[in-house]
Amino acid sequence: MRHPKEGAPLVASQKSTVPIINAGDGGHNHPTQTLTDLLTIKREKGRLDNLTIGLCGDLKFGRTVHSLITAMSRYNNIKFVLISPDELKLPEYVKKEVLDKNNMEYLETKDIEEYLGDLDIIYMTRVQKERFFNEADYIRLKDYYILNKDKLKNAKSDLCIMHPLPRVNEISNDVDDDPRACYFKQVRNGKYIRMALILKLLEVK
Amino acid sequence: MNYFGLNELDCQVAIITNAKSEKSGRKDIIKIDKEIEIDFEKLGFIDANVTVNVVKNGEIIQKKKLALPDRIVNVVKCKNPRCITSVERELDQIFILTDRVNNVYRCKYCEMSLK
Repeated sequence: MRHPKEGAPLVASQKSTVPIINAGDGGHNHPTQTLTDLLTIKREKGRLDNLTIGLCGDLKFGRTVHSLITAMSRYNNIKFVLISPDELKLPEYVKKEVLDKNNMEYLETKDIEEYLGDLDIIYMTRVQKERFFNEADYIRLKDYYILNKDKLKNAKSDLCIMHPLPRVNEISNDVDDDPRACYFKQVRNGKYIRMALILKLLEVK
Repeated sequence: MNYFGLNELDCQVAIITNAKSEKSGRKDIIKIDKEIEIDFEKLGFIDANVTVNVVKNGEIIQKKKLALPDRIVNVVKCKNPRCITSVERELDQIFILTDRVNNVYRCKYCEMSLK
């Protein structure tokens, strides 16, 4: 169930006679995307620990980002570089209740290039129009970050570029053919992980 | 007063402010001249440091210490405009205590904290 209102799948699960899978509820959670992201990281990097991960874009309303940070808090030596404009910074409660609580290292920056060379993974997100009540804010922030071939010059050769898709302008098309671009593989992994989840709920052995 | 319907009672209600307190220097007292039903969870949510004394014939016969309740139902509304409770009006407004040290309550549905 995908729903723009936060908590809608929980309400549905209280009444439904069949299992409900939360397929994204507003800016709250997106658990199947997180399973997809974990599978992609595991397949691309061969591990889920000892990683420096850059999260870039809308870290305030980005549900995939909140869920991914929470999931990665289970693994050792994960460092986050939080890249966003001031208006879209990661909420304080995620910092306090997930990052600080688990003694996870993180730093915040507005500059996408500043730490790009240190990253094992960069997770780009789009600024979503439906999260804003003021269109002017959306227009001002939507193209704040654009990752292109030129910016990737100093990045690691085994960097993994991820994006939950669909993208708008935040990853330039000239990155698509770069071997470090993993977002199309990520989509395919999403199909497999959702198939696995449905089979699990159907109790298929 | 309105929260607990004290202004609608048919008995005397006295409000004393700045009374002397050995523990905290000063305290406020609400004295109700009748035994009434009080929602202790609601009261504990408003202030967990409240003590309720039941007095009969000039003697304290019961002293009740309050604590932060684990959950509160239909006491406050979630202010998140993206929360499902903003459109499904018949849903109970439920908040769960997620951090007892810092007194943090979160909406059961959208997990937005109470400010």
